[in-house]
Amino acid sequence: MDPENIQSTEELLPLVYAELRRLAAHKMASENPGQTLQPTALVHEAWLKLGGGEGRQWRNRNHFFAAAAEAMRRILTDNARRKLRVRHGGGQQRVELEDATTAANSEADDILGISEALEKFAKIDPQRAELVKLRYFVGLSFAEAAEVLGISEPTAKRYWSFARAWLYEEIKAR
Amino acid sequence: MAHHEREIEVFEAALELPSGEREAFVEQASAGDPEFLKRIRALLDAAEDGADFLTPLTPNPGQPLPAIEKPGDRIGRYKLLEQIGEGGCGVVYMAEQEEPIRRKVALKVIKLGMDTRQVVARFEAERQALALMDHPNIAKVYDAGATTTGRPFFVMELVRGVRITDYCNEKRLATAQRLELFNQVCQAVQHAHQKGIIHRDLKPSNILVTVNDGQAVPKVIDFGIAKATSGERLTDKTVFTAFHQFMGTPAYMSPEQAELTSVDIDTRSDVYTLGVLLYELLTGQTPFDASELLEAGLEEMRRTLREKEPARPSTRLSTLGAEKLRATAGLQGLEPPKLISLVRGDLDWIVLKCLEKDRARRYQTANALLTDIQRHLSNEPVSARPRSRLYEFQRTIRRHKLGFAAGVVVMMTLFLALGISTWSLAKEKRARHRADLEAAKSSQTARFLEDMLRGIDPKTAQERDTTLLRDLLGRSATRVSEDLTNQPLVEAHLENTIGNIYAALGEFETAEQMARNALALRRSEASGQPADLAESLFDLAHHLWSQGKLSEAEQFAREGLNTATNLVTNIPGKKDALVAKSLAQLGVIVQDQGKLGEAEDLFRQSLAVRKQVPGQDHPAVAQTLNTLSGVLTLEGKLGEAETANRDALKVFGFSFQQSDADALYNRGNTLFDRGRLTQAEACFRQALALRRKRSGEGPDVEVALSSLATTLRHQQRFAEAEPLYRECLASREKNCPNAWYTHYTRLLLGATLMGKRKFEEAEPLLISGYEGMRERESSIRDRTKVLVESLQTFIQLFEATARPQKADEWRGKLSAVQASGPRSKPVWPEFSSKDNEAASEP
Repeated sequence: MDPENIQSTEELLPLVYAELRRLAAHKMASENPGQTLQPTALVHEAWLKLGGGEGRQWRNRNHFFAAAAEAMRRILTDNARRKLRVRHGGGQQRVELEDATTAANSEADDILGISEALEKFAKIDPQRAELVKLRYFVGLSFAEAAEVLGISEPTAKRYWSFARAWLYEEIKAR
Repeated sequence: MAHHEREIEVFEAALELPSGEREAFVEQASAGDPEFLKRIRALLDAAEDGADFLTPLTPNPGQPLPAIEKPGDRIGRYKLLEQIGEGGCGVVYMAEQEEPIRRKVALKVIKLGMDTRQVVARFEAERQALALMDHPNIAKVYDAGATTTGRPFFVMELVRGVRITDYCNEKRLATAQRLELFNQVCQAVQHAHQKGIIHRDLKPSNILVTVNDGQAVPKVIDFGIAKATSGERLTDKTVFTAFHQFMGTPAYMSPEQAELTSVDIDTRSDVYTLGVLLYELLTGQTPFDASELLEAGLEEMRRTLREKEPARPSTRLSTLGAEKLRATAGLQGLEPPKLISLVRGDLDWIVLKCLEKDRARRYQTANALLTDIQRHLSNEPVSARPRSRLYEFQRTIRRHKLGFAAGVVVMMTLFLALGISTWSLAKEKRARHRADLEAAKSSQTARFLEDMLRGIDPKTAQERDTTLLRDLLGRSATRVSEDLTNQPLVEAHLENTIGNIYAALGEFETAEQMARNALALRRSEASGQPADLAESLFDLAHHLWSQGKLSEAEQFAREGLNTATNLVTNIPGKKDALVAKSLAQLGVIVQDQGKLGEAEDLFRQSLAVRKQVPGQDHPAVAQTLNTLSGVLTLEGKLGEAETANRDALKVFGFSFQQSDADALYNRGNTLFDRGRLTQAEACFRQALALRRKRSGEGPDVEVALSSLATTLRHQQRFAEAEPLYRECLASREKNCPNAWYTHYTRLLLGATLMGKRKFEEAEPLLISGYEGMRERESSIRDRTKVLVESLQTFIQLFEATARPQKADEWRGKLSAVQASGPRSKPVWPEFSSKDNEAASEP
């Protein structure tokens, strides 16, 4: 509605979030049950759907990816949380669209733990955290993630080593 | 964080070293800081142990998705040349067949998730029947098989065309031409039905139009494919799968197809779908919105398809909203009123007959449908007609919600009829009892008129040329007061009605005058109905409130409430409705005077009445809850406001599974764009409450404030919009004083004040907002839209403040911008100092 709507990454988030959810639901419904989600493909599709090709609402592609990475993190985390709730609460297994984005059962705990640790890490080191989001939640390659972040590929790899060690240590310490 | 930086530095340096040298380096680098040493050691261990940690969730990290087939590949005796399409169901390639004949074909590979053997078996079962089909409007299906990766594929006649809906719109086909094309589709479907083939998946993407020798030829593709690829619809999951894979959208699905258990699909299912297509060709919309159907969930979707009556095409058109209606009509080369009148009647009935829930009531064959359309085209009576008087009556009631253009036509007819029957009768001074009879009739007519006019959205009215209506109103008002002097009650009723139309046009002073006359007449007439008196008081209070004359409005509203409360009537629900309405009105008036506690109390009373009558689930309850939530917010009772809002949303049937602030905000935007302002308001209010709770203030709260305010402004609820814009502006002036949208908010606040007729206060805000945006126009995304909106606001300002030359001058600037087209970069005219001086003139 208001043309002012879309301003910052934070404001883009709901838009991307909604689109990704929709796509994820759509994807899973049209493919074999049990097949794992392909976040990279989802994000690319969202990019096209949201008019990325024409660069309309996005300052640039990187701007979009920043929002998409966070949206993907939230989607996967929400679903992992829901999945765990169903498992632990013994609630009735319901077939809902939301379930579509749930990763394999064993991954649910990992995703939650990583997501929480990552939130903490983002406060200390936003750029490395961003890299983790792009790699882990969106599935970008080093080259792609480096491009999004505007750093070189070797730098991205160095960033990655530290971020991974930091998060591993954080999760282990819990 | 220096500590963190140092960690990184030492960690990265250590990793560069051969593992044997690391320990020594780390010890040296930690120089006497045992904590730090421990930390680095832990991180380095983690780097070793966690080598597999954080494997991207993607199965093949960084790899492109595996493409199963690609141009150049060979599938059986077909060579893929290029991909020509992709849909929910599969990928379509242009392919070359080499034997037995060399020809180009379309080859469709079905997506994963199917039992290929069964698909092929089902196809084989129908193959003979398919081979019998021979029709110029049907694309032949030649072959089916399985790819080496085990996916089913179909080979069809290659059709190079565009979707029928796109074709009609691109060529701006007139309504009659659209019907001609549609007739050919009916013929194709009829042919297939005669050969025993049901399509099951007719939709625009399966009806392609090609041009042969200048003749447009629609071709129906994919015959036999839906049948072969459907079959096991046993669970919700597979049905959803089916929707996505084969229907793509449930918008074209017949009620019986949506049933889980139904395997009993017959040719009348295709007739239904033809009705959907015709609906779309005429109105640009499907009867039910596909994304809404999917969003509502499976149960709700089935219920809708099974039970909900679609709006008539003409009704749908008239409720599209001015802009969309104009676009839709433009695509058929027509003015909006013309399109509506063209569709109303025969075509409405024809479409509705296709869309009957009970297939026994539909056209029994595609041919019968075709015949009716041909009858319509040659102006013969069609067979599709209302089922009964009752049916027609129900439809007439619905017709009350006609749009503005239609409203004017109906109203003129009514006034003319009224003029002939009542006024001439009155003049001739016929027998007294005849006059009484006519008086009763007239007041009935007036009520009908009023009901109908209630359907007019003032916003729609204001955007159109209302000269004709104003002229008509003026003359009617004169005649009413001159000719009806011996029938004061009828006169009062008509004056009230006319007053309300003036109010809808934004002419509140005239509206007030009419309402005052009506009120005086009703007070003086002993035989008058107290209910009518209450209505008059309500209307007068409303017109006064609209002009910001709050204390006078309050006085009449209180009297109205008293009258309503003491009402004795035997019409069920009438008293309650009046009382609830009067309570809410008084609430709004005292809220605007700042008496928040009293307003809250009044809204709660109104709510209590409405929960009894018309009942818990009625939209009126939601509306009151919304209003209540507004005042609660102003009082700072945010928790209660949120609860009220949730309840309102519940009435509208929103589920709370995913009602987080952002989802609600988006939902609000969607609803706003569709013109469903009350529901949009509920969403924005809720989103705002949640965002306030989440972040207190900041950009997301500002955006929610602004969106809510805009929603209220579009409903002419300026008094409620004002504080929201003010809060948004204050926050933005603090947080981002230089952003263009801060200036935009200032302009919108000005526009809101104009709505409250505070022109002096509005003008400087408008100018400074506009100038601020002009300086930053390159950063505005939708700059043409914003510019046009600004210029229109200035024109309104100059008109309202009696500066016609200025208004004309700016109208010129506006036309220049509009003439330059939406894609060009518009030039923002400067608001010269002369204009500023003009502002200070009396």
